[in-house]
Amino acid sequence: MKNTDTRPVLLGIESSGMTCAVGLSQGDNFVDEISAVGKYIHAERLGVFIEHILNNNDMDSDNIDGIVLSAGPGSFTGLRIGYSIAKGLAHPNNVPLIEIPTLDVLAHQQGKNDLMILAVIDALRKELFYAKYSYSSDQFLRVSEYQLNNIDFLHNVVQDKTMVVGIESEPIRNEITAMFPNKITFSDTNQPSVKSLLKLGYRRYKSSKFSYLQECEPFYMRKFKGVA
Amino acid sequence: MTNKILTKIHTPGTHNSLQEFRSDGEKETASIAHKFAENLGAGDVVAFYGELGTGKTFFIRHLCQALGVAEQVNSPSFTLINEYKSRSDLFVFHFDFYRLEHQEELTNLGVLDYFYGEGICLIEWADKIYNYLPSDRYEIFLEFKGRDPNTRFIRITKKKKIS
Repeated sequence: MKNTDTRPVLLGIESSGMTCAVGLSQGDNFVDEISAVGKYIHAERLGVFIEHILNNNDMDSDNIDGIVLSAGPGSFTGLRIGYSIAKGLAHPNNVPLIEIPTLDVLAHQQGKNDLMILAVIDALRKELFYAKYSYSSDQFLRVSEYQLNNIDFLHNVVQDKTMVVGIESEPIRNEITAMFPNKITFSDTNQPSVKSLLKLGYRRYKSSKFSYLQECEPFYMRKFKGVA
Repeated sequence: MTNKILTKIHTPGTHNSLQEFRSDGEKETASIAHKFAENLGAGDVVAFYGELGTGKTFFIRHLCQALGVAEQVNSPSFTLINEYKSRSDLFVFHFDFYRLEHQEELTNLGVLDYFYGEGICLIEWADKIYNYLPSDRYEIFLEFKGRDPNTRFIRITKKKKIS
């Protein structure tokens, strides 16, 4: 069936963690997604997923008007696979690349909420990547810098009743709960969703906030510094 | 054969343990490596320390043999990392940081994905990246001892952080 909808088609790519997902949106409409969760699957499956989702929706790469990428922080390897594929598609098809910080994706996939949202990604070594968000005017606004700190540092971050999103690890959940008894709830949706990614991506697409293809790189947040 | 275990210490309250061996030749070092391999499983990290020529790569080659790695094991001096598969289908990652000049290179390598993953990490010149090693790890120190160039002291410690 020929697609007569002229609104822009965006391809979303999520590879920053355990989730390996691709999705399609057209304008405001979320069209489709394919996803799997697992370690060491991204290199094998991401390209295949893209091929399948385009085939399943009677499209090919010529139909894509923009690529939306979950930018991290997260798994170094996963992010690099996502960036390689996204750049490899964006360049020959001459379509823009839109990077969305993964913490933003996590926050925005929560429903309307009166609680403060703390989007968190396990940074390993007892450290966390995090940012705070509050809901206002039908969207979540980031109200803190993106941070990388030891888990104990959350004492300086959590003041009000807060919903934590992004943490599935029981030991980390227990540690956070012990730090803030009665203040913390945990979200049920802790893997970044490609639907939320595409929604944020479309906003940026409309305001032409595109990344410079030659220079963009994953939002690692962690910097290794110094002479070895 | 029996290896000459010089010391076997468990420090109470620390979760750290220490074993010291004396090796008088390659055969004995290989045997120590084979025995040590029995301890290793998914997610283990082993940091190797020792001057040039003390036999870090030799130890790792025999460790890999014991783990059932079929590929040729050479030191990844220029590539920084080699990847093998063990008999039980585990990834074995072999690092050599001798030529690492800037810590920034660790970003491109994505070392933390490896160190906190489910493979076995064997790290030569681990002192070069000491600050980024997981606190739970094995450490193996190889040292020349005495005048005999074949003699080594091999210290194996298991460090475990008490949470």
